[in-house]
Amino acid sequence: MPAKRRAVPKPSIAGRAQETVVTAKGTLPERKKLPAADFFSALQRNLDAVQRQLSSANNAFADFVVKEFKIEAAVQMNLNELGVLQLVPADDTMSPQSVSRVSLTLAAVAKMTDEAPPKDMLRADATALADLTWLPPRLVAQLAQYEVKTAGEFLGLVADARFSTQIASLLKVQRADIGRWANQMRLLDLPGMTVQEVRVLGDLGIYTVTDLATLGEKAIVDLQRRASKTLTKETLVKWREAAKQALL
Amino acid sequence: MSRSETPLSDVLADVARAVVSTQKELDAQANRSSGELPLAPLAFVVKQTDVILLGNLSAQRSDSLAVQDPALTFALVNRVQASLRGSGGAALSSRVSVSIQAIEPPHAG
Repeated sequence: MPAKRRAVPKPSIAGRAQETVVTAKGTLPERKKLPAADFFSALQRNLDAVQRQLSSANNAFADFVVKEFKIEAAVQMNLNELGVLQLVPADDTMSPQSVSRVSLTLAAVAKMTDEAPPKDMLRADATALADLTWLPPRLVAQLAQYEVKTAGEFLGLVADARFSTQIASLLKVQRADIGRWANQMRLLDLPGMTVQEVRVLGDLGIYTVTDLATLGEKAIVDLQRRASKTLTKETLVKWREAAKQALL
Repeated sequence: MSRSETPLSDVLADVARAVVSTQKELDAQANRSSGELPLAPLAFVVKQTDVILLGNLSAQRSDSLAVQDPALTFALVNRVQASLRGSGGAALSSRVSVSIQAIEPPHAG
């Protein structure tokens, strides 16, 4: 009985997550620690893979979809000095009393195409700190030790003022520098903006979305003259308008 | 990765394959059916499959600066292992449950 295949809804996280008791104390095995965000994204990828397999299965009679996915993971939990939650999957070497359970339920929902964020808006989330040429390499290495490796993770961290102070103290940097780097990362969310262009703007003294949004005509001409090899007036005007939109 | 550890994606892929294979078998039965089967005019759909896996999760991630996705692996616990571990073993085990549902067969109803 042949039947025309239809698109099936792709599952996305629409479930509930419960993180139960943090019981782990002392030092956890360094090599096994996994940031919680990575654990959940790994689950998402596995779920995506099984859904892709189901939707591409050559079966004429019925289509299948992952309706629900649950996991109750036995883990040891740890918060590092920068507040990043780390998980260590339980193994036989751990005492049961030191193990917590993370329960996560994912339900499949159809994606609404008009609600999907523009691709460019996700750039800052996925950009590796190691790719940001305006960040001191020593700082990138230090942050990596605390499991902070992407611009998205850095922005999440500094959004909490308590950690901003802690970062400055731990990494021996100025809070003003942290703020400037974060603002430059936010520029990556503007459509079409690249890491290299953010660096050029930084060299010109433009560090924030607000800086861009408030550029006057004269300033744009001046900036274009100073970076005539890399920036055009049209590009600057386009970014200024995008920055204004971002601030609305 | 020890011998019993399997990437979680492979475990889930096996579940998906099992569901699709079961459905294909049902399709084949329906297509083969003739007068000798009492339910000859009917066809069947695997409406929902629930699988619960009990085992040990582990994760691997490189220590490099690059953003690299970790890989989750899963080692199923067999009955002998479970009994040897006793009650403490249950606390160390993880449970993965997946429900797969058939959606609106176009020719149903």
